[in-house]
Amino acid sequence: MNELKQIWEQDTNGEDMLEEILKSRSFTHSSIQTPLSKLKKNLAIHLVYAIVITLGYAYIIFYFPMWQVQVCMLLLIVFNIWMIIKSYGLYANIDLNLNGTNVLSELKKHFQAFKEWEKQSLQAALFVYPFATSGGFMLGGTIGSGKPVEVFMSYPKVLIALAVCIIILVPLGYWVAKWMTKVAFGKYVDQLKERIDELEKEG
Amino acid sequence: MRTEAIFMEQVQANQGIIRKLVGLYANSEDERKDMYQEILFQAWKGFASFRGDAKFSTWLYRISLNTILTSQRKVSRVEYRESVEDAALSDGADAEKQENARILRQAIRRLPETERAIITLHFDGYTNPEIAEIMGISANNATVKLHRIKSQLISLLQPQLL
Repeated sequence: MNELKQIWEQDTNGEDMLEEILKSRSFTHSSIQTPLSKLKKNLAIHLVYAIVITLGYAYIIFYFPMWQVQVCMLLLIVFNIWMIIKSYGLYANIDLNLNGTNVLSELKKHFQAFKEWEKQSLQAALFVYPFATSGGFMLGGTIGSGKPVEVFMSYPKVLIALAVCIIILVPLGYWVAKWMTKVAFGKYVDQLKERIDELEKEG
Repeated sequence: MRTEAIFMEQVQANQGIIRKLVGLYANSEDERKDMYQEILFQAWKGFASFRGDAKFSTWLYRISLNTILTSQRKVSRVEYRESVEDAALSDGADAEKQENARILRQAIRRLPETERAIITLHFDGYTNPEIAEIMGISANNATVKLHRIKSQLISLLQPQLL
């Protein structure tokens, strides 16, 4: 082993690297987007969208005085506010500094942030979509048919159509959310998990 | 400006840490430069909070490992081909040393990512409790892991170096 240590100490590969980097690049800023900084940026964008969409729901409540639609929109607003608070909490807790702790804690910090984001995306799909579908269905149906909500929703076929929409769209939305989180950061999260498991495995 | 000068002085004195770690994890020349720059950036960002409780080299090691192991990369256990120019620069005894170093690097790269970190910390003179602290594992676990990694490395290098 001492022989290997000696070989290690004598390794001069890439000795000119620092000079080269300092010549062509600056160390006071980074052009590389790490997955965590990407997640933080995504969360900021989502927060802005969520606020705009929530204001849109408030607009519908105000301009479409149909209590069934208003109830759906009100519930959506409540869920959205809940999601905004949770997302903001996650956003604020993401610490992009890497100098505080040991390797395992740092890996876990990254892993948990992505898992929390995934959980929030799936919760949004489960809680928001049923009400968004119902509200949109009733609003579109009444505007399209020119009939009051009570009349439009009194047709059995319409009720069945709404039920079918919810049954199809909610799981679909959930599945799409799951797929999108996997596409966006799935491989990276697996990589983090693998490194955490390697370290936690005794021996 | 003074902070920047102190930082650069410290980095220059300890550049071997970054250089060697980057050589063990990067899969291409571009990735090597990106990784090196990102480590420098992270170190610069955190330099204000460095209070000197630990040695600068230990602090830089920690930042380098945190940066590398939390980055998104294709995991490769085979070393990318070094440029012909690098090889041509060395000759004679130096060439042999560098060839041995390359073989060692290549063997370390065959280990899982976290194990590469543990063995390099050991090669750089850190004790088992220090390795445990940097990696965030128990001292006992570090000792057991290191023992296993050493055996693995020896069996990988047996036909070439030992």
